[in-house]
Amino acid sequence: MTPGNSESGFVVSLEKVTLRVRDRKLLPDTSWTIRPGEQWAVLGPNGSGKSTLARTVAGHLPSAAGHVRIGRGHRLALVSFERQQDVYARELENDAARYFAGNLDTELTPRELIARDRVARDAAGEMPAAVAEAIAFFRFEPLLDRSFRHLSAGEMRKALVLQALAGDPTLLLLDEPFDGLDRNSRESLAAFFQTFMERGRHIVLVTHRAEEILEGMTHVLVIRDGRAEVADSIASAVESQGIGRRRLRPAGPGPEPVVSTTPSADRVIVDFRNVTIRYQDSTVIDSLSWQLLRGQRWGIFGPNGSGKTTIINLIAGENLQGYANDVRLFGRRRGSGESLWELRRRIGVVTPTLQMGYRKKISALEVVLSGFDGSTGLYRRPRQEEVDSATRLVEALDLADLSERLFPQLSYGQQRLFLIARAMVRRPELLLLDEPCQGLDPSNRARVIEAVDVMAASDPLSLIFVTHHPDEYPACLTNFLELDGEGGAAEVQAFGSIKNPVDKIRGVIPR
Amino acid sequence: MAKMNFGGVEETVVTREEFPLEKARDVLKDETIAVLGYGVQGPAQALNMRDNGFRVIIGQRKDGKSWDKAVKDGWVPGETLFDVEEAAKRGTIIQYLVSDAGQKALWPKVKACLNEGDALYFSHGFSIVFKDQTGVIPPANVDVILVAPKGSGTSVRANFLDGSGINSSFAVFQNATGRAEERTIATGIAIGSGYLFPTTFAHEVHSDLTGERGVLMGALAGIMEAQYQVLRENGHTPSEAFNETVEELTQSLIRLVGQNGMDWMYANCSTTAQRGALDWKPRFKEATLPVFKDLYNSVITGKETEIVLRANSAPDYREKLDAELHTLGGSELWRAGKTVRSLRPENWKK
Repeated sequence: MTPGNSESGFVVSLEKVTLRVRDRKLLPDTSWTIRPGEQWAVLGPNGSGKSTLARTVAGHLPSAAGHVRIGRGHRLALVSFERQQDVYARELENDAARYFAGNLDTELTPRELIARDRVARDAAGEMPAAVAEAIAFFRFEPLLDRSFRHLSAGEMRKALVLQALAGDPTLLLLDEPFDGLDRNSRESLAAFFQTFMERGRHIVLVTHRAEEILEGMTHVLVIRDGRAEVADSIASAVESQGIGRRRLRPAGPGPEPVVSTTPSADRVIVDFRNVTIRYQDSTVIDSLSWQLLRGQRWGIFGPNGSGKTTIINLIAGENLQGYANDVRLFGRRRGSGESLWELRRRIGVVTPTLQMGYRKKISALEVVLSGFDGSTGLYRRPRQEEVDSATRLVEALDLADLSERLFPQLSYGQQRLFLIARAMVRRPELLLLDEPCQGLDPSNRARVIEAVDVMAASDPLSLIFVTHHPDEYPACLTNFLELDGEGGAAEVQAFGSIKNPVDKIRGVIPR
Repeated sequence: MAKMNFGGVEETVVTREEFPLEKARDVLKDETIAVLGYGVQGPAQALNMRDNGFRVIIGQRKDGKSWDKAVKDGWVPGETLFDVEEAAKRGTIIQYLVSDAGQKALWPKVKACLNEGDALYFSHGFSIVFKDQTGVIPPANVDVILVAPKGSGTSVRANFLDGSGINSSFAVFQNATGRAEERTIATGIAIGSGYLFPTTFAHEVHSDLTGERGVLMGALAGIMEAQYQVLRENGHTPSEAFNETVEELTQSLIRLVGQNGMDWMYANCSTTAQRGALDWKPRFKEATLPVFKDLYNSVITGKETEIVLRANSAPDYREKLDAELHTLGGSELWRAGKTVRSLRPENWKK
């Protein structure tokens, strides 16, 4: 790696920089120069410091040592999950003020989000040209005045990109920009980034999926074993992603349940009868009748906004429309006198929203322990056998060395692994995993998928697994539900196996 | 009820360990709880009770934002969502959760819908304690009960979903059925209380009105203005005066007080701060004690209520209020605050 600046100038230059997250130092003495015309990818496993590096370069975090220099005339903007989480958390905080004042209809819109970062010269109220172009590119105009919180994952990500563009950046730092997005959203964002690069602007793409490296990228920075190194070539960097992967434990018996639930005899666990869900002007689920039988393990797929998360939330008791529909869980209709807590004790859940909302200053092990009650935070002293059980699970998932750390201080991927352990710790009758691998590097993805398979093999586990990536499906899946994005749903043989919409039976699945 | 020692004084509290959800469901198994008013407290308490497995219906004026919100929250018109009178007729526990002014206005209609043996439930003692002024005089054949969560509607709901719960006080004003107390406590658990402590309608409303006029809002804003003015008159900049008066309090000190108490603050601050704060505390107490005594007297005699009701019913109420709030918001102190907040690190680059 060449420290210092070449004569052609630089966009960003790091000179012997050491990163700092609270009292931990990362990637000591990193020197890295991005020169005009270069397009970089940054690859590395969860918790290696990728996001910290991006935040430090963007100027959001101070470094412990060294200098971060921005080339003359260059402006940086960062798009990351953390930014999304910040915006989301602020919206939650503002709810307190909204409820207090009774102004419930003042939720943040993408238009306001963009306006916050608008450069001074456009203070007149016009969208900056770069933003206006991107709005046209994404066909985002109709979404500008929607509530930010009610956008789909792909729309939310685009809104954050639009916000980043408001400062007219010459370098966009993208921290896992494709995570949790369906193929259409990924492709449309990638096409936009491509255009952005072709216009002489720069991109730094942080990812743990080597296949996401964009066409036109010229360099790769690989983070491995606490060091950042420039790869000789993109091909060698991609190849190196396989190396250094943690070896998985052999698929032995799963963690022993000490506190186990007694599975009830009812065969039909989930029973949707003619369920219809509408948000504002769109029908997300159109008269869906569908059953999940005990022991079935469903993969659900479909584009962003097609209702996958809605189905998960209806079952988890998080979607209030469950009370206005005929949704039966464990043989009992919602709203017939069961409590949310009875459901939470029988169902384990991991969703991106859970992670965004789980902001408690407790240890990672305590987060796992909160799975026994399905609480967010720990509000009673756990019993010894619960602690033993949680500890064994954490060891089996190879997370023991992180379990005493404060949960908010873990990286996004590490938090995700602990939330998965939280969902599994009670050995639930039904496990709901909505994009469980989002934010995970290849070895951690494999770890999660294997853990699900191990649990399924030793338990009469029922499962719903939602993902946009067919390569993430655990082998134990038995059924597939495809949502078409227009309210329809059909059972199919495998991921994407039905291409011809004529074959789909709208709404009703025969069995 | 568990006995707890509060600084040497013994009080009783009811925890959800001794009165678990199952017991509450048993007590209320034949009841339909009608929540009248889907504004601020209404949704939080109604959603929590429904999620706890109780039979809940909503009474709300049709064709408004609150009605639409109720539909969005999964209440079904004709099944679990009705107009106010219909819900009041169908309910056996009637939660009267509209605003104080709304309670006075709606009372004749609601009263006509009460059946013998119903429980009329409040989360604030105002209408009942000042019944001579509000006209809310319940018939003798219903229970009149109160559960007052010590938090906003948002925290009532958010704490419930987290699994923690909120603290509430409870009271029985009228026990017509002989079951009033267990109905009260069961409803308190149903709405998501972590523990409940007993009070009376009068104590609840007197402490509430005193608190908001006193330390929580009136006194706080008053002494902030006084200190700010003195600093400004002596040449301090607005940002410095604001930081020393408001920002340090809200951004760090009050959180430490919340965690550890004011005694801890005194024991752990610098000696300079400690000496001064110890010396000046008695003088502030001495100066404000007569004001607080006046205030409390004005509350219990009903004078405060009279002022509120008269002001609310004046035709030019809105314009006068807007003018007062405009003066407050336009003051240098609170305009300086706006700038200080925008400079907080978490507001950079966002």
